[in-house]
Amino acid sequence: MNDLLVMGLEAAVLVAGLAVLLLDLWTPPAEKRNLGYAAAIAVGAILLASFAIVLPRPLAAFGGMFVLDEFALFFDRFFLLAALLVLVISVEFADRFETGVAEFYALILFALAGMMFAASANDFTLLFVSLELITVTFYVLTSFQRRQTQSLEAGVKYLILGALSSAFLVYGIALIYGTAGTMSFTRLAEAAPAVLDSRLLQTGLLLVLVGLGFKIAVVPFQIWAPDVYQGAPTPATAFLAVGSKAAGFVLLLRVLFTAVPALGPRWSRLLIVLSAVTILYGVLCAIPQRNLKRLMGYSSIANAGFLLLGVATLSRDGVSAVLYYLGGYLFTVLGAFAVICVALRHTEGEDIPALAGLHQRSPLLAATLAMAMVSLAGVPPLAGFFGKFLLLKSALMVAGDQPALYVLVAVAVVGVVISLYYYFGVIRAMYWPAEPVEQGHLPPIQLSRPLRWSLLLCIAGMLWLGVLPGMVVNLANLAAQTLLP
Amino acid sequence: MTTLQSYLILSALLFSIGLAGALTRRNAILVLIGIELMLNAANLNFIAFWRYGPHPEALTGVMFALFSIGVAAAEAAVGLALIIAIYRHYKTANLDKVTTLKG
Amino acid sequence: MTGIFPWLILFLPLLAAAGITLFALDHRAVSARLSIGAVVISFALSVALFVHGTRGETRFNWISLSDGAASWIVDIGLRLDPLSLMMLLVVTGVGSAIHIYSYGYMHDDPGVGRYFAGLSLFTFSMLGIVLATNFLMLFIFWELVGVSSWLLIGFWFERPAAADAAKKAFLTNRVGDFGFLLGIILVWAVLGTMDFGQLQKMMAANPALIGNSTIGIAGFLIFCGAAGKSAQFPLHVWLPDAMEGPTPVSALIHAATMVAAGVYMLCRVHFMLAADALEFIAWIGGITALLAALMAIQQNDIKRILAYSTLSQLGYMVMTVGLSGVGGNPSAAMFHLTTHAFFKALLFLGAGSVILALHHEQDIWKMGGLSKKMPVTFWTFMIATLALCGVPPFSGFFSKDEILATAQRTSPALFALGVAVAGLTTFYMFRLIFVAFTGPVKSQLPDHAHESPAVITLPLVALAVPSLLAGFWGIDRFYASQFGTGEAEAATGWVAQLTAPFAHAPGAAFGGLAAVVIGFLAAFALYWNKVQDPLPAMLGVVARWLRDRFYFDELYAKLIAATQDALATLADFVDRWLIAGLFVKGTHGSVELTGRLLRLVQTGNLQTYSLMFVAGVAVLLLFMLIR
Repeated sequence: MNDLLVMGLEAAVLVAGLAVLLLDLWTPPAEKRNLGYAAAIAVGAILLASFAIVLPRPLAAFGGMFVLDEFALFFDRFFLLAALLVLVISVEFADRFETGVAEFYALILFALAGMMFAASANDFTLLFVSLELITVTFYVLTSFQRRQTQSLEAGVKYLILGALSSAFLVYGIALIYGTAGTMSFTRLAEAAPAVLDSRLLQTGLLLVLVGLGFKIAVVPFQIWAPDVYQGAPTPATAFLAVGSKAAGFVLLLRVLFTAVPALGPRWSRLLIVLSAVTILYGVLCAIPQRNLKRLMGYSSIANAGFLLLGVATLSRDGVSAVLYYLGGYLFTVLGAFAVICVALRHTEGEDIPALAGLHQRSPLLAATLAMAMVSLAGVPPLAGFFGKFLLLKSALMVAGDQPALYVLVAVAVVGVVISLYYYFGVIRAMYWPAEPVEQGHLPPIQLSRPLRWSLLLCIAGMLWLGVLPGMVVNLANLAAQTLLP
Repeated sequence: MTTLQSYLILSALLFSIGLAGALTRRNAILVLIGIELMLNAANLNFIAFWRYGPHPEALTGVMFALFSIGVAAAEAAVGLALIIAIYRHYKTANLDKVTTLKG
Repeated sequence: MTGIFPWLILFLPLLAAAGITLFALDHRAVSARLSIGAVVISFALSVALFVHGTRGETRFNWISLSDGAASWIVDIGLRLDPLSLMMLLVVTGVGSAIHIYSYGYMHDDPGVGRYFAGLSLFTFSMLGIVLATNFLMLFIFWELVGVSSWLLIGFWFERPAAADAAKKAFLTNRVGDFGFLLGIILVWAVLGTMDFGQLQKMMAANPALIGNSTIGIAGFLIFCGAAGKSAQFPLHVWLPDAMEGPTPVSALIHAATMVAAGVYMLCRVHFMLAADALEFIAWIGGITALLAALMAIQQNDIKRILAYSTLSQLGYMVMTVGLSGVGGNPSAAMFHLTTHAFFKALLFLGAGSVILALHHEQDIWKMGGLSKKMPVTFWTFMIATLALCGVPPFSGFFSKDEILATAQRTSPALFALGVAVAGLTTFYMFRLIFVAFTGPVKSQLPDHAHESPAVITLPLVALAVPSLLAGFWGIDRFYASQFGTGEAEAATGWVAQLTAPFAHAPGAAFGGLAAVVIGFLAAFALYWNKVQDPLPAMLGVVARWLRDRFYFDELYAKLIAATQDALATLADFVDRWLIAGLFVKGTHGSVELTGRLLRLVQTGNLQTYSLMFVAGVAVLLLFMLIR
């Protein structure tokens, strides 16, 4: 019973998901769409409840398999907030599904539960189960528009590559279990220094990295990202970009710093190389893109590289910067996808030129997207600037011990500069299109009230994290401290 | 050669066969079967490590294998549903034809 | 008690802007009252602070990243010293007059709410620059000023010219700000702090720092920011176009305050500018002053004449900052900034009054004889003109004299240039007066003109007072106390004050006066009672050069087009390099394998994706396990 209390937030999310499925049975078809708002309210309530939790010390459940500490709590809140915004976007998108809107909402909640379990995972078993809960749910979410070839294609690509990465992951966990004799992070940390020289254990850990690298879309496991981002329904893409990626990072951080702390120095160069290659791949491939969602796919690869930079510092500042960056990334990316979902609904293929004149159709949409692009490009005073600043700063602070970080920082700066080009291309397409649009073709876009609030929330979040970063930095520091005391 | 080693070699072989199948087959269902083979190779590892490990009384290895089988079933179910939808659309389950998203 | 005053001064305009945006966008009276009320209260509080003589800083931790040994703290702080106190008075005082004037000027515009929201946002950002205690805060407000300026220049965004001008101003400023940001980062990287107080202490404790080449480079980069905002050559092109905004905006932002922010910032960080940088700054300022004055003499749009005049005066100020020497006293620049704020705002508001009376006609060759029709506007305009030309006892005489005296002490070449600019200034201003206000009426418009209402003329009169008298108020000595150099005791009695410049630096004073007389006589000879401009015929091609502003805009248009082309070519190159080059050539060349693999990445074929994935795993394992 006590165990269930410790995982109360996760349990509440699962109950909410089941409730949505049940309510679906009694809801008249015309009203089914609004179940998303009910789900969003439930998520919001759970989010508020999470702030009532005070943790004098970390709590554990199921024999230490599940822990609730400040780090887990930070990410629980992160995932809840992300899901809340994604649910609002989903309601806007709902009329593009023929059937099963309620299932879509429920699946989002189940994926959310998976992410929250991942945040608390302290054992390779829970790591695997939570990761699979997320992945299998996303197979369905990405292919939810069953009559759209693009959605199906995205689904099957995600499925095959996801299953492949799961196979590697399970095999890796088996090797770790075989050499270390345990799957608990805590016990592994005690055993690791002695057995770390074993090739078998190293292989196992690398295969786990493959599984996690797939989730966070890091080169060379990034191949799926652009295709799936482009083909999946926009709310699913948004959740994939924010939630799924963050879940991958939670687990990576736990494995690196809790399970096998001695691994860090051995992987340092590997992480630096992966980060640099990922950044360059993301920004270079984004340049010629014409499809906005595909562009966001490459952008998310580049951002995975930036986040990996923070991990590669192996310092508490680096981890804290990663958490902060993810916070800003949430508002920025969800704001952008909310706009994509509404502004490009009547155009085929989400091409960037279709944004022309958006500021005349809806100034709020245009402003949100423009700010999101500016923030992604890392221009002050928005969240993206401060996040990148913290990441680079944390890297420079430890670069004395690991000179390769200097090169990585240089690569990151080059990446930022290249990225300005395509981010500002989006802004240009909105405000100064190449071919002026005739007034008649620009019907104003009506925004529903929840969407309007969500957009304002995203804008406020981008500004808040950029201008008054203190509070979130402190939260991130607190969370990072539990990982690296 | 101890028994554990032979199990591990068998599992590695199974994994490789599965991987080869997943990489070379064009038919989506055969690719899925290959991946299932890889997962089961890993499960075999778990059982072998558990059985010949220092603590066979702790059931962690078996537990993981059970989880893994459950997850694989879910994956297969979703996968097959998806492949059927693809088949309806493209009139083929050949993955080479599913290439509209690229670049 | 007064501790909260600076915060109120700063945040009242922001509250007004937020209140208008949220609740009163469509209520013209409410929005105007909110905006005017906020700035007037800020002004009153500033006066209270000034009288009370408050000094020092109030601050709280804004960002504090502490990690045991290495801690990094940035404060939000407000700094009150002679420099910022006087600037506060200028921004809120001139701002108050212009806010009130705006109520009359913008009365019939449907976007009044949006206008006042923008104006309040601007006031907030400008006050932030004035009060900032560190570079980071300064930079954020610096950008905010840019944004609000963009909003206000493009206020009539349905006019393509206004939208283009807003864009141009924004982009030109970005160029400067890019350098500025690099400079700030460099300072932070080398000295480890961004706080002005700490930096100054550091510099004072270790004078050798100023010779440090990195600090020198940082100085140059920081000047880039000032050059953008204060429209110095070669980033000056945006300011004349910015006149597409409403006239009160031109008066407040593009004459009195925002464009002065660059000069203010240079004075704020003067202690860390090295000799090389200062010399560079002086010459850029001098060149700007001369070029702009030359361009002004062939403009026909009343606001553009004033815009070029602003450029020219800003050049003066920047030149003075440069001439004041390492660790010297740039108070002459601030003095001129202050008097200039008064009389240039007055000139713009006067021009606005004329424009309003003539139903938005801005060509001076369609005016004439307005002095009789609009006496208040004319006389206040005249006072401002005399101040700008530097005629004693108007305020501009004293400040310009200090500038010329500084130049005379340090650089004969720049002194000559300064005197020439003074002559040109008088010439183009009296050209404007003779053509627009006196002489024959040149179109039907002035016949129906009549004096503007009190809401417009009162601010004119209010600004005329400091334009006339500010030279006697000891503003220069107040600024000098900031820089700690002992100035000569003030002369007592106004006669003594009036004659002090002649006794102090006779060369500068008489040189300046002679230039004024020559400029006036030339203007009188050429433009008194004329209906057509005689100068183009006399100067020929040179006049066209002047009128077309030395073709800077055309040059930049070409440059920008070329840059865009280059970027496009680069993107195209990457395109080809990634897709066509490597893939197509690669299949036949020595990099066949790479080419094929990269092509596989792009095909969208799931099979090859899987292959890539597994190859990735293999590479990873090889990289880590086999060395």
